[in-house]
Amino acid sequence: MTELHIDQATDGGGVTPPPKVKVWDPVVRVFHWSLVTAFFTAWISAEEWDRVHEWMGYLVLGLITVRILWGIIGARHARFADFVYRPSTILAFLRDSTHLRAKRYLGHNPAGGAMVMALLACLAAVSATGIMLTSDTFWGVEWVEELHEFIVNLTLGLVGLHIAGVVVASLEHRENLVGSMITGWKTNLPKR
Amino acid sequence: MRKLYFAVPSIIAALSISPAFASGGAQCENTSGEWLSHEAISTMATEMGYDVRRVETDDSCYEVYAFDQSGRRVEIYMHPVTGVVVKVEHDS
Repeated sequence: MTELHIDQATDGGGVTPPPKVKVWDPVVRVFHWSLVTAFFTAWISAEEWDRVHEWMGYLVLGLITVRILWGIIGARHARFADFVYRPSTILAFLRDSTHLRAKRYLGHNPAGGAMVMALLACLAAVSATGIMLTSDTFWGVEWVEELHEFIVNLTLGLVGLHIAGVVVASLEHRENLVGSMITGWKTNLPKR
Repeated sequence: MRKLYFAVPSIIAALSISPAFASGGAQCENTSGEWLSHEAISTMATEMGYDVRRVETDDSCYEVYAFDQSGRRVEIYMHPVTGVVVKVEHDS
């Protein structure tokens, strides 16, 4: 991934479009939208179309496994080290966001990073309980099924918050974060 | 290469809208009479040779989680009034 660094002060004062920078690598983008599709398909096929439900579950597990590896060895903004912040930073960021004066981040902001980790943890737990339900040991065991459904509902709640966060941050910084997750590009605005 | 990024989600999306949608569950007709108890349903399934784990109401039928005589995981759908087996699903 090549990063583009253009110092606007040396631009000679002419009106030039703000420099674009590639932020999300293909793995991150394919992962994101495949996960959305697999999770949603698993959700609507639940108790309706068992085989599809189970295969989508395995796909979710495969995707999050790849993402966790990519979080360790991947491109710059894909790495956990790039977006895992201490709780106090996350709280301060959320406080600033409620006043629409949060700092703009090129990669995941602190709240977005925490959301990535929360979603990965929830989906790992959903996958684990789902696999348990296909085993002889936990066949028809009610608490596993209830736990599976509870974590799915928790995940859906997080997805709602995630979308709300994306909308707020997009409006706050006048950028299209959904578009960036499709194309990978962002505008490399100078720091305020 | 770029097209590939969109291929995976597209295939899954196509799958999810495909018309052959329902395979899970079963429908039981004429369920207005007095329903058998969970215990009664469990006993009936056991007498048929199933190793019953749980009885649950699923839409209009009783759904019984069990193992069949060869030890395979099965879901047995039984009529709540008559106890007749409507459908047996094997866990893939």
